[in-house]
Order: sequence, then structure tokens, then C-alpha cells
Amino acid sequence: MTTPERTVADEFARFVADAGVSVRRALVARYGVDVGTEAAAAALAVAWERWAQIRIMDRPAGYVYRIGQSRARPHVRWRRRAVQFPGESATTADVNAEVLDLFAALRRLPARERTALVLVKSYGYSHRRVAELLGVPDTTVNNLVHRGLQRVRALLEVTE
Amino acid sequence: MNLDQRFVAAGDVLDLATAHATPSAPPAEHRRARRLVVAGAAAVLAAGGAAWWARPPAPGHGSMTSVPQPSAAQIWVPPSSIDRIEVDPSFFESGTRQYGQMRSPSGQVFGVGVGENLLGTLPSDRDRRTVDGTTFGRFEEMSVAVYTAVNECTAVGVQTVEPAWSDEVMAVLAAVHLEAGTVSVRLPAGWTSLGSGPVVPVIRIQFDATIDGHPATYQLKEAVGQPLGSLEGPVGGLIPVDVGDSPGWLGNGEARVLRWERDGVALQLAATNVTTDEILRVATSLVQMPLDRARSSAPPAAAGSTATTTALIPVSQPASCPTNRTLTITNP
Repeated sequence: MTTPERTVADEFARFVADAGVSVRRALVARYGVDVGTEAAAAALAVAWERWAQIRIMDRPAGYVYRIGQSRARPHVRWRRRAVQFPGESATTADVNAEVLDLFAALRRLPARERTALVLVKSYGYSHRRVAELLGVPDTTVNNLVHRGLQRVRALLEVTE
Repeated sequence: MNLDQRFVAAGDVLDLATAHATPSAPPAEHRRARRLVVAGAAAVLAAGGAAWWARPPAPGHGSMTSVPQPSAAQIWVPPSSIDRIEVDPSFFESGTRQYGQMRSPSGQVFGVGVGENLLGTLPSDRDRRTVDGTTFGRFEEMSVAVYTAVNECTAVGVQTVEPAWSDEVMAVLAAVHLEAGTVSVRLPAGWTSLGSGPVVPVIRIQFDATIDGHPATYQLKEAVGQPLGSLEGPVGGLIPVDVGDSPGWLGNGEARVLRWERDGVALQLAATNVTTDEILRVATSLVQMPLDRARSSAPPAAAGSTATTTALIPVSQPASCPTNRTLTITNP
């Protein structure tokens, strides 16, 4: 008999290295750095605990993202924490001013638009991949990206 | 810096910030979660796996060893241009995980997944019932329920959006037989198998098509050499339709989703704001082409970014268990 823990960890590592990164990026885009990172950690912890079941589910990454959303909601709902992006602490003082302006604009977008826009424009994800992660139709992603981009352009007064 | 460059730079900044984030005083649940994550990450790192918060590779490039795709495989593509083509990576070793689907008399689609038993025994806090000698534990999150049963080697999970322990749920659970590495589902009267098979890399194509002056973006998903049921898709309601000469299934949720098989390829076509006639006309207009030729006809950035899948690592199990799992769904 071989060691099951090792190989299960291997498989989970593969999930984390690919889908786990997407989940973290999506949650950070939606809820900001602090809450998004915490929610991603909590969601992946749940995924690790329930991996035996999640691994035989359809679209496990989307499922883990939804767990992350449920873990983030108490922060958003009860503490009314604002979405925080880099630029508000000394550790990010070296971030380009134009990028900081973009973060300021992104903060003002509806959460779903911001999430879809960051995944597509910052990370180059396909609309299909974002749709499966967020659990929405592809065309919804298309609309969210289009509207989000329009708002960002208006907020930044960019005409390109 | 133009806007596109700013977005990419913002993504880099966010990745960097989340790699070093030190959130203040997380609640108890999150502290526990973090300990579990650390434990999981330690196991992962000890196994030589991926670093937990390591800076990930560029999108579309697997972080593990890449292996070539079967480029000569014949796939179905639109006669017009392709916007994007991708080959999904699979997290699982081929043969160790099977997936199938079946349609109930009321039109609901149930999914069934089979893999190695990593649970050991069913957790004691699970809502359990024994159906025809097999004990199932029910687990639900975000309105999709999974009914899980295990033996020493194998776990089987039936997925549905139906109410808990409804008549149709009970009927399908009674049809599930689990023995060593084999799961067979002998469907009762009125049920229809959509097939089953190993979970394999899926090819995705995005394209625009205009029918009678109405443009729309279509998403095509296909699995070569696999039955329709193995093509993982949403569980829920489907109605039968004809796609040319082939029987197919149509889902009318927020998006219109058409699923059918053609020449050994399982296909799923989806779009929103289109009629049934439009999606059927697009489906019947598809033509066959080798995968590598289809990839070369797509825009370079899209084709180049997704041309690989990943090498697969097996999950070990007791020596008495078979290497592969099998799932068969038998019509009444």
C-alpha cells in the first residue's frame, strides 16, 4: 500500500496551483486584498477538508469560489468593510500612480463588474473561464466587462 | 501607460500584494481555516507540489509539466472564424475519475461522479439514509446537493438540484450499485442515460455567428471520443430536441444550452439572447476539422496561450483496489 496522503496532496496541489489561483484572484478582485485573501484561504481550507467530495463534483473551482463568497459575506455585510486595494498602505508606496488611479476607479465599480473586468483585462482569462468560475453565462461576463470598461474609462477620463 | 497596460500592471500588483498580505486579527473561523491551509500547504510542499502562495505563471500556462494534445483529433468548428480556442487542463489522472448524467421522467438532469474513496467513511454529521442497502450521506452547498456513498475503494456522488430526498432522488439512489471500483446505475422506467465516461480534457471554442441578421456570441464545448454524459455540464432541466439527424437536449435557463453527440464527439453549444431555431441552425452548420488546424486558424494569442494540458499524478489507494474506476449507466 502506498501513502494516500502524499498523492492526495499532490492532486490538491495541482488544483491549488491552477484553479486555486483563479479563485484567489477572483475573490481579491471582488472583495479587495484583505477580505479576498482571507476568503480564499478559508475557501481553500474548506476545499482541502472536503476534497474527497469536491473532486468528484462538476466545476470544482466554481464551487470553491462560491464557498469563498460565503466566507467573505460576513465581513462585507456586518462590518461594512470597504474594498481595499494596494495604495492605502506604506508597503505599496512604490506602485505606479496610474495604476493607483485605476484601483481607485475599480473600487467604485459594482462588485461583479470589477471581478469580471480584472480577471479578463488584468489576467487575460477567457470569458468562458470567468463564466464558469463566477457561475454566470458567458454573455453576462461579456456585458459585465463591457460596462465595467466603459465606467473605468469615464472615471479615468480615458478616450483610448 | 495605456489602459490595457495599466490593467496588466494592476494584476501584477494584486498578485504581489496577496502573496504578502497580513490581514489584521482574522475571526476564529478564519484562524482555524488558516491553520488548516498551512497544514494542507505543508503536506503539499512536503510532497514536492506547488508552493501555496507562489507567484503563479502567466494565465493559460500550466504550472506543471506540459504534454502535447492529440492534435489530429477531429473536432467540430464553425464555418466562420474562431475568436478563441482552448484546451482545458484536467486535474485528474485519466480513468480514475468518471462522470455521467441521466435525465429523470420530469426532465431534471442528475450528474453522477465516481472516483477513489478519499473519505474513508461518511462523516458522522452528514444527513444519511440507507437506500436498498447502500448508505448515502447528503451534503449541500449553494443549492446543489451531492449524495455520497463509499466503499473501501470508491466514492460515488449523485448531484442534483432536486429537493432533499425527493421521490426522484430516492429512485436514482436505489438504482446505484457500488462494488469495488465499479459503479453501475440501472435506471428505472422513465429515466434516460446521457452516457458516462472518463473525465478528459475539454476543447472550448468561442465564436460569433449571425442568423437572420441577429448576431450573437456562441460558446462551444466538446469532448472527443466521449459520450455526452461525460461532458460535465449543469444539472437541471433539459428537453429533447433534434439536432439535424442526432437526438439532443436543450436547456432553457438564463442561457440556451444545446447538448448532443455527433460522430463520436460530445458537444455543448451555449448562447444567451438567441432563439431555439437560431442555436439549432448554428449547431447544424458546424464542420469537422483537425484540432491543430482549428488552433492555427484562431487568433495567435488565444491559440498560443492554451495549447497544452498538464501531466497527471495518480492518487494512490489500497493495493486491493483496481487502478481505474468504471461507471455504467444502463437504460431501463
